[in-house]
Amino acid sequence: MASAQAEVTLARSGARTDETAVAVPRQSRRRRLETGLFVLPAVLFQLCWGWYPLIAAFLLSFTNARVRSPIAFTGLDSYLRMWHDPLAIQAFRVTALYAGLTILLTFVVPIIVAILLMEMPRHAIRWMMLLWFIPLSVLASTLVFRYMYNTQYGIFQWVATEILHLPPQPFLNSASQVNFWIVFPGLLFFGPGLIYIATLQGIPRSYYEAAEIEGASFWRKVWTISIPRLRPVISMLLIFSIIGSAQAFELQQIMTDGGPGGASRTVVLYLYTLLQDLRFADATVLGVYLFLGVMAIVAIYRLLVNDDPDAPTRRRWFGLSRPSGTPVHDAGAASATGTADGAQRREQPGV
Amino acid sequence: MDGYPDASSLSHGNARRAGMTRRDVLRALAAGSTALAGVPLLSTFGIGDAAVTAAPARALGQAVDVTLITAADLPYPGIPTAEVQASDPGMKAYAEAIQPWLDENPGVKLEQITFDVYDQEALLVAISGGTAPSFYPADVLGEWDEELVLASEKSGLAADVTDQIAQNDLEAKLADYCLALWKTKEVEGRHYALPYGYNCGDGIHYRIDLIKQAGLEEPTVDWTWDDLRNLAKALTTDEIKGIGMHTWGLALPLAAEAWGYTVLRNRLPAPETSWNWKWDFTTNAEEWADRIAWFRSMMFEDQSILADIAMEDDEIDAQFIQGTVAMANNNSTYHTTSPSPSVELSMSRAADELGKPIEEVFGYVPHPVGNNGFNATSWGQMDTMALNPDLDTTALDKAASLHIYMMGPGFVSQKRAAYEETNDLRYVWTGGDITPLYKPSELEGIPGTPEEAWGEAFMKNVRYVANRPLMPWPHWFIPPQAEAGPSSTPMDDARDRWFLDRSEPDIMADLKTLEETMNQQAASFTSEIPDDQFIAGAKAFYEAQAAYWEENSPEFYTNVFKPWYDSLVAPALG
Repeated sequence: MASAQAEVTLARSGARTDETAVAVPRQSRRRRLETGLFVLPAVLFQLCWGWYPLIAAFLLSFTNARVRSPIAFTGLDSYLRMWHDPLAIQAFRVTALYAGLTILLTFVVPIIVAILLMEMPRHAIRWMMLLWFIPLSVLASTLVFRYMYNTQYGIFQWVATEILHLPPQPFLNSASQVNFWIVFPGLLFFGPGLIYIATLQGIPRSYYEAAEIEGASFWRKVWTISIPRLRPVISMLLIFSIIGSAQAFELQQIMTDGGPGGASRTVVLYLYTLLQDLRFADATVLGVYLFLGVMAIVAIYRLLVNDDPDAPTRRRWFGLSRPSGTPVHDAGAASATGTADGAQRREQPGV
Repeated sequence: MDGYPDASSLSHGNARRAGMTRRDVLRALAAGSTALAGVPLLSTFGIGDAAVTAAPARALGQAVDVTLITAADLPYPGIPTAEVQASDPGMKAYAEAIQPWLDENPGVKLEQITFDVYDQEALLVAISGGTAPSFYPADVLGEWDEELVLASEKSGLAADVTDQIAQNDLEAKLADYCLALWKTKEVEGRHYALPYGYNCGDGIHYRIDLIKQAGLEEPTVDWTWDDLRNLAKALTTDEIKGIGMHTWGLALPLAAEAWGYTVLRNRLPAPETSWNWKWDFTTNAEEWADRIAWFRSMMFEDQSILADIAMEDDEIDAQFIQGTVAMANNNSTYHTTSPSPSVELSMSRAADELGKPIEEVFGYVPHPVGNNGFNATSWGQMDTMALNPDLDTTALDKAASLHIYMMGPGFVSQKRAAYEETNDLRYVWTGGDITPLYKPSELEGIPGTPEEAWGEAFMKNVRYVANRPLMPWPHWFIPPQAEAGPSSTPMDDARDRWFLDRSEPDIMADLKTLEETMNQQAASFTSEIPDDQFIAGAKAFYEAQAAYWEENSPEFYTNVFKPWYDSLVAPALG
């Protein structure tokens, strides 16, 4: 097995081993059948519940999407209608605002908290991880917060008026504040903080020790060791956060149903409203627009952002790697400090 | 090398391990999961799945083998077993009520499934997939928007039951206050649902005890919005709010000035446009702005309104029953919920707990009259029951026959049984049954009267609304469209923001933006109604409106309707 793997690796890297280069052996028919059987359920599932609805919705967007009456082709009518629809434009604006707030409060803050937490005693770190690990129902929490935001008898209003002596606050009833208050509960749950803590714990202590020896300050260590090491995780979670925020629905529906005045109506919530209004074609078009928008953001992100902490010269072009001259596992944390190269190279990541 | 047999190792004579190896297990799992994946895949395409789909309905067609699918108890449960009947008097009464009809219709079965017929999305998916129950409320199809409901019926989401209605002579059975409303449910001369219930719509419920405690007078049917505001302000204390309102509460005082998405003043005929309608919020912008500002001062200066965007409707209702809110808008049937412990919010049970008759605790009055005499915001409503369009003629005949029977003799039988069980008329004349669908001559034998159950004062106001002539609606004259057009969402947004947002809005600018948004949306739709047919229908509609207001509110006709019609509507219709 190990020798077969080595043969495959060398063949992929293009290095020539000797005069008799080993070709990748063709799998037997039985092996190929087994492989296919293993993969088939997942492929069928993805085709059924992923690709088929996607393609069907796309095709439906070019029709009048009648439920039982004959379906007629309408071309780009729905696309043009939704392109010019002020409510659709507003929904995208609200979604962008919500996504920005979400990323700022529930994505950036946990990074800072996780980094600062690493400076605390180990038992404190364990307690925080335990708290983050407790499973909480998002819906149940949202319902509780909805009551807490009530302007008549909610605890937030009590704190605002009785403790802070502020005038009565509108909370969810304010068009300018509603999105912040919808995002706020996510801040308290710290989102992906657990993943950041786990990643930070995987960074060898020797990196920080070497940096300290070289006189690096706390923030210098954070900037040159912690953040680069977190970069792959940040990159992955940022994409998930962008995609998740773009599809925001349940929090808005539970708390405000898109109000007041559409100030918290995200794209998916507007899509839901269109379904309730029996405008099925318009709803699918909105879904297509959302899909294209999110794909564009992700594509641009992958194009511009380098998430590999060990090979800063690498560039990613549409998911393909142009290999650098140095194999990945030999790069080390060469950027830790400007004078710590020697100390870094003696330590192997993951050892 | 790893000890697991494969083709090459066998060819080299390596010993095969006895029993299943890990690889064998994995292969078996792969093959098994592939086979298992095929079942849901095939069921997705409706192949081989006979249990969950409407196969029973599709199988109908034989004269004596009909299975009607009901969802829980809407409108009828499945036939309860003897054990259930022994433990539940209500189910026993139901079984006894339906049995005569079953005896006359051998071969008809009722099968109950678990399905939420009030979930619009689930219902639409089920109808399109052929798995919907045989009966479902027609209003759910269009989320209680009359024009959307008609659009959904026209597009085939409900069965045509016109013939079944005629076969059973249904219209001759309907009470007078129902008949006029029933006729408005036609879609191009056809009916796509059966009548299921009648009520006199929304109004203002109020706490008689709190009003008397404050030394105030109860409202009357001709009260105005200023009267309501003064009463709410007088009733407001540190612990009690004068009135509780849902997030759409501003719709009520605006509707009293004939603000509306479909009927008057904001929607104008525009046959020159693609959709035939346009919206107007700027012609009378100052009037609307004044009205909105008036209501906002009630909300933020008087602070007499309990409302919050995060509050559900039943939270307001609960606060009203608890007495922390002195008035609340709701349907009249909320007053007549039985005192049964199974009913979550019951005014009658709350009155019992206070040791008082309900007439001394809770009252009901129609919505206040507008500034210019517009008094059509409380009106009769008819709930209708649609039948699954997949049912064949035989099944439709049986379903309609059963439903029409259960609204008549079956209704009487159950009511008599309820009284025998409880000796309490509040269990007999409950909910919308205070205004039954059928004429009294069709319902002889029901003990007592609604007045005896709920009090003279309450029923007087209910009958006042029920007997009021109906204001004409556009869809009575202009054919509904199968395509749903622009929605009222922008209007709802603006209204909710004006109601709830404390920051001072620029209402005039909002009205202008609202008009632009609505008309921009409308411009992207094309009506399927030919212009000449639309103009003819619109003219008939406005003529009916003029006749209605001239008779029922001359003040509104003279000061509002006629000037508006002459300056804006008539020129548009040529």
